[in-house]
Amino acid sequence: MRTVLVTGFLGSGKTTFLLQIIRYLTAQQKTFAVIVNEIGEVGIDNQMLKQVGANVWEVLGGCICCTSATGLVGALDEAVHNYHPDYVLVEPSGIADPAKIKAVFESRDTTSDETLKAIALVDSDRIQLLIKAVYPLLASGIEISETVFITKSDVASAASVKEAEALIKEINPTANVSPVSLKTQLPDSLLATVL
Amino acid sequence: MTADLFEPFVADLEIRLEQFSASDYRTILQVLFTTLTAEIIACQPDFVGHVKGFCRGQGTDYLRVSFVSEQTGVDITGEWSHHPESAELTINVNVLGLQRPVLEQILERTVSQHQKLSGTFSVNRRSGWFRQRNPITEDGKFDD
Repeated sequence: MRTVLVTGFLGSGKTTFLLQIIRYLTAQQKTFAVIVNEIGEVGIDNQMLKQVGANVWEVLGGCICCTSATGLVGALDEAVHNYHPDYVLVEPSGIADPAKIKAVFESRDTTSDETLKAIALVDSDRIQLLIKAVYPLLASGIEISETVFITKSDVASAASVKEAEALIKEINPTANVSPVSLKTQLPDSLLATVL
Repeated sequence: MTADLFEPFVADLEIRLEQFSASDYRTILQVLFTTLTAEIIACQPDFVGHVKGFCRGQGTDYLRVSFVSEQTGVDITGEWSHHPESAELTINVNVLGLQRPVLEQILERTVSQHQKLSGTFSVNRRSGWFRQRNPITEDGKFDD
């Protein structure tokens, strides 16, 4: 079983990307569970993912990197033991610290066939603002990820995309980096590689 | 940055239409969120994280609304093929630098303006309007 952790700041496209993964996994006839974390007591993303038919576990009212870390562990255990999915997709809140979430995963008692793959989304359209306002969160997500998607490359300027690329390479030189637009479904070949 | 630096809040609303086509829901959400986010930006928050909405329709119908910046504007995705008399709308606002009461006033004003101006649809509060996240205490637990 593989856990896929999709990180990114608020509004970076995490839910849209998750929908694309769900479409892909459904077409591949893979089973999956989704864990959604939002800081508000009433979620938006969980409602939408349920509406498209996904099995959703909700962790609401706090971040799974800190105040709701036990909620994440409980949801993961429940999803794994009761549902036995091929994949568990985790969407943390946009202000969660990805490195802390990874530490929560690693602290769990897991079976040997459970693996974690982290994918970071970086909003190229707001890259300068994000560097200024939330650099530690941005860097944390990039650091732990094998794959980093630079989102909104269709609306951001070429200079912003380039700036995002340079930042990512500086923080994590080994990451696979791709500028994407999530307005259209990503190619199966790309999703197969990153999952 | 931690969760307690944001002042997130959620509003549960009901949109009620009569004698309109299914596409009107999309238009109404576009107008409502364009006004709401313009009002928020006019109040000069330090940082707009994400203003988003979810409108649940009949069957698998849904519309998701997202706003992160003036440059990209309000983005609406989803399928809406039926025409229900009413639909539930949840709005979630995550901005930095505006206190929750200010955000509540903005939303209250926006909704009220639309009801006065339009007369073609109504936006009503559902129970639990402005359900708020409890503040995080110093020991990291939620304070009741």
